Amino acid sequence: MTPPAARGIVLMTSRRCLQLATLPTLAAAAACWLVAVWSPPATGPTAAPGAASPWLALPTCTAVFACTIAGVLFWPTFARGREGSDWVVRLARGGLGGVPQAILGILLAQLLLTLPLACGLARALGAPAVAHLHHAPPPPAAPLLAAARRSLEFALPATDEWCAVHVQPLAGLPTADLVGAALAIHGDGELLGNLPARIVQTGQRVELSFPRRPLREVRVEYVDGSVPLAFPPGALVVVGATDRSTLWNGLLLALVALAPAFAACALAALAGTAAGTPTVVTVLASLVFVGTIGGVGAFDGAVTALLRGEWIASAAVRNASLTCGAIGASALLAASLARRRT
Amino acid sequence: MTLAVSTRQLAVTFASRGNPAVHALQPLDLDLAAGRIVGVLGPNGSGKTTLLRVLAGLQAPTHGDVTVLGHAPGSASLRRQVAFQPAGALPLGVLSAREFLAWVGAELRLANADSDARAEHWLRRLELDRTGRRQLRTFSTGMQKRLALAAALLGDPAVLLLDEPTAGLDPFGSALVMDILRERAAAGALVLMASHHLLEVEEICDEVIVLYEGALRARGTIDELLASDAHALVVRGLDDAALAGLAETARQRGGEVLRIERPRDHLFALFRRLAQRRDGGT
Repeated sequence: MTPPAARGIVLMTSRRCLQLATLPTLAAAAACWLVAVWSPPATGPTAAPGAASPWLALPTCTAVFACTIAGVLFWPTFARGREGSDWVVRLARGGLGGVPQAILGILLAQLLLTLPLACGLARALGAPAVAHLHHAPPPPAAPLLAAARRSLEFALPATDEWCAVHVQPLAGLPTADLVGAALAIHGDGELLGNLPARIVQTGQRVELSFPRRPLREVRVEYVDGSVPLAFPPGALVVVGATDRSTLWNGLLLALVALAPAFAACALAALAGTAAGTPTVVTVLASLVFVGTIGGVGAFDGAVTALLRGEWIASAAVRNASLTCGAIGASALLAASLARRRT
Repeated sequence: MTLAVSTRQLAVTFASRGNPAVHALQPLDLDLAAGRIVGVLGPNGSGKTTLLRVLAGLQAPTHGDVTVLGHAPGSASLRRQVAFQPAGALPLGVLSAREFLAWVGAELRLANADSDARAEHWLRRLELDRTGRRQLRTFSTGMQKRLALAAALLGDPAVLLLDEPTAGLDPFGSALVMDILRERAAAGALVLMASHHLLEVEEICDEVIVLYEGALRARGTIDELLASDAHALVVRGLDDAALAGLAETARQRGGEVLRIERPRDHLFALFRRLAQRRDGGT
């Protein structure tokens, strides 16, 4: 007699998800890689791997969709009135008939599928071998820079060393004949350098690299020009000097992708306390769509960050993922209470 | 007599907004002893399944008290001691029979080796040991029923709640299931089975409960319920004239001859004999 490969709910669900989701995910990954190779995005002379983010997002989303739907269809207590659910309710531990364990199985399968994509396919699509922390310090009040107000100061966390500054401000109408704004960057009172190009329009991004050093503060000085500049959040980014492996960054993307899947599964389970399988699957698919390629949450930005070589573990990503987790946990709690009432 | 199940004024009412309330079970007092096979009879909608679901802890009673082996139904301590076999199809249809039983064993917290040994025993006993990696969803109704019974028996329960345990089974399968249920009762388990197969109930059950519209209509042993003051005399080797003479003698002695018929065995009894012959030959 061959002993069964999986006995518990987590591993059984995970195995079922892998059985159904592996092929579509591989097919999507292969198709996306081929498209990216044969028809790379036209980005001019400089490499812009961030432009390839749809080709990484699509197979990752395929894995998320396939795993969550396969898991929900596999486990009988996700929806009301499913065949054999009395068996499961009676035998599975906990008030939700094994749904939390099944969700864990779904997430495990999804992690196994998305990890190679986030680490391997991302490199194949041009992600740099190392990633760096990109920190956008909050701008000061009234963040305007012009001939009349010549400098803005940005506070930095003291724990890191930095090696570059990216500036991408909003440009206003010139106050005299058009002369692009020339900026100098100071760190802790010392001149780090002048930006290599004058800024004449919104969207223009200029970078300044400097030897790695700790910084507590960055000051941007308006040297000359006639174009006033505004620095909303994100217009100035400092780049950390520490090299971080893209493999770890890929792992972070795979973890970030778990958050919308968890929230979607938990909300689907909540819907399943009152609705049948078709409604539950519709709710699930809609929520997965919104949470991934729909742009709500951290996933979309994390894909682009991975391909650009930006370290994903920023406070914004962490907060968005924790919000998803909290929504999912609340939904499971509500589902448990609803089942107890029925 | 060890009491396995006890209900006092047990009632279940299903209420939904805009619809009249359905009294699935009306106040019901039951004491069921261990070591017996009790049949629950009644037409569709009479409350048989509701009674079993209440005892299994899947349905909360609207009113009244219930204890199973001295505990409230559905309490964690009864997970292994009380087994429930619902009437419908099995869940997790993509699993094989062994995988399904392995999951049941894991949920019952059986050690893997113990669970596998028990599973193998019941699969062999219920003639499912050659199903290999075949998925449950491809099983016939009868195979699913037999596997469901194997799952119910895996934890060696003291109370077996079975909803239509022989529905969809061939006569050989029914005979096998009934033999197993007899063994379980002999080993001290209470077997409570809802069924529409009256012949099987008559053959196997020590006691019968008859429900109608959620209310208890009759209860007792088969002999008590079918008791009669008539007697049957079964003879062989007499011609019609001699039979008429016998009948006349009975009348002269004050008796009433209700009918003279040629007795015929039931098909089910024939199948049982054939099954015994087959088992003896293998």
